[in-house]
Amino acid sequence: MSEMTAIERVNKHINLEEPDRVGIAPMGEFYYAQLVDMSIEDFLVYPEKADEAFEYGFKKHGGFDMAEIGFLMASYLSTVPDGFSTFYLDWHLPGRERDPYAIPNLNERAKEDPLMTEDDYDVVLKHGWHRLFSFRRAGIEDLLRLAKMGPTVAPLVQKWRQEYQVPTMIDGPMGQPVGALARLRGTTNFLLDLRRRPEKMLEVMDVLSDGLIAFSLMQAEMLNAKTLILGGGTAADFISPAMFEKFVLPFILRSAHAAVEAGYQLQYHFDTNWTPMLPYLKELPAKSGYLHLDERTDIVEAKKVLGDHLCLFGNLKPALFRFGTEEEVERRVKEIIDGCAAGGGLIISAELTADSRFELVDTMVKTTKEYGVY
Amino acid sequence: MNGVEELTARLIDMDERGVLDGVRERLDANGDAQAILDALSAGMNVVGERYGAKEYFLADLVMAAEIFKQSMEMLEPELEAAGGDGREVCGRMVIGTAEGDLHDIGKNIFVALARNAGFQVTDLGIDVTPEAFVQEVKKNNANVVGLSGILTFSLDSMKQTVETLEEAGLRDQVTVIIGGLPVDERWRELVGADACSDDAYDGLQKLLALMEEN
Repeated sequence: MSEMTAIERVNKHINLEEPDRVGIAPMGEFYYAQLVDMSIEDFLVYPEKADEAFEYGFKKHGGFDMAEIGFLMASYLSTVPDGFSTFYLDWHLPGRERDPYAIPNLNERAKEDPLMTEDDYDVVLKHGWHRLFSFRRAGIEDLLRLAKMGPTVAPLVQKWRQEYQVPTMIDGPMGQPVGALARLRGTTNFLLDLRRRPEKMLEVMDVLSDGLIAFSLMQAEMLNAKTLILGGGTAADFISPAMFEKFVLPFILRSAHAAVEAGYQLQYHFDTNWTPMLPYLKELPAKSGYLHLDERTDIVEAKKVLGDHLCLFGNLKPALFRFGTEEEVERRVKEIIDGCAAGGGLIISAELTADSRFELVDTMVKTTKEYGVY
Repeated sequence: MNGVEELTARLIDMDERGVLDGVRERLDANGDAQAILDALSAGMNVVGERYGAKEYFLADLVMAAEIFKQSMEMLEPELEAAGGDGREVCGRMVIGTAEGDLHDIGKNIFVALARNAGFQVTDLGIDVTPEAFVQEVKKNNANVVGLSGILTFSLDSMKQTVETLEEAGLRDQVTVIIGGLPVDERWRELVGADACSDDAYDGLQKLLALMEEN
């Protein structure tokens, strides 16, 4: 089979058909800044600089099947309670609360001092979630910066999709209420609330869900998005299957179906161990995007359960790229390919940390391209 | 079943109101605070075992730890008046999230489990410098240091903390355990810790086993 463009290859995988080879698309983020000795602050704030750094890494590694466009700061400036929003959460950002070369860090806040109190459930129900909006860590000038970001990013998106024929990995967020509430209340309080006030939480999640979906779709349209990222919220194995069915699954499904009906693809970004919950994911729209799983989910089991339903994306351990060896990376890539590549629907990836080593990332890319040929 | 063992069952069932009301009623009736504590500890042990067996989930551990903590707040004045909680102190622990890292849910659960297991715990919170660990180890004459972190950068802070303990001549005095989602055996070796885990319950079992050996 002649070599395909990255767009053709990824589309084949998402449609669960065999292309020329297994896909490769590391989630590099700040790793690319480190490659060109760019501060994390610059990478975060200036989409053009972030794109320069990404393009350097892309070329140095001989090309990937997806491009990461610099919309990161937009997440931190989201005006809705997305899990990254500085207007709702205590993110410590480089060049502000942290050194310009340090990565963003979420202050999870002590259980006794949550950003959202128990009383705020009623506030949200009565007045809406914007009552939780705060200028504690960002100001008006950040909102203006956010407004200018769309026009800056548009030509970059165009370059990758049209000129290089590489699909963009994520163009914007698709909100869901579970992750937002868990971060606003703090994980401990959130887990306690699930038991102490389940009906109130369902009511609030219902309100949040509608607002987040509406905002996400509006933003996606403004950004000319194709792929939206939908997080799994509170980690699957944090709660029992019964709680998962009641509090998490309905809202993930609601957001997923809304995005797909509006014509978007999804990166289902499901961190931590989803192995026990994999059968539930058959309820997600088939061939609607790709399922990012980190190393804690058994990806071979995911292939067995979801192989005829969703493309898989992952799942090398990030720490491997700092502490591992080339042999270990090669072995793990081959294991994933052996267990999951048949019939298409596999994109090898890892969420790289900023301190990942070039030669180990390169081994992942090269092994996938050589060993993953169909 | 209407003795203190009922409190054990209620804790296992995560019946927060039932446990707290039960503790209050028994204390008001001049019940034995030590017997109440023992019953609750027995419940916490079952919750921990079920979590280890994957029958219970993190949410259950968090709920049980919260019920236990609230119960202790009621019991402590009675226990102190009687000269302490009567349980054998199995170690003096100083714990915190490594410098540069702000994540703490895993650490908090570990602290709750460790306290129930009989450790006297000094929790330094998040973003803790190596110097602060050294100072608190000296102050509390600690024999366990717990270091928590999620970011790979935390490895450097953890390593630095162990080296600072070494320089202060305290390394041989303490068992160092590290925890966090990315932590593994290789990470432990690089840091120079004695034990590691990516799970609070498993980490406590490893620590107890190590202390038993020593």
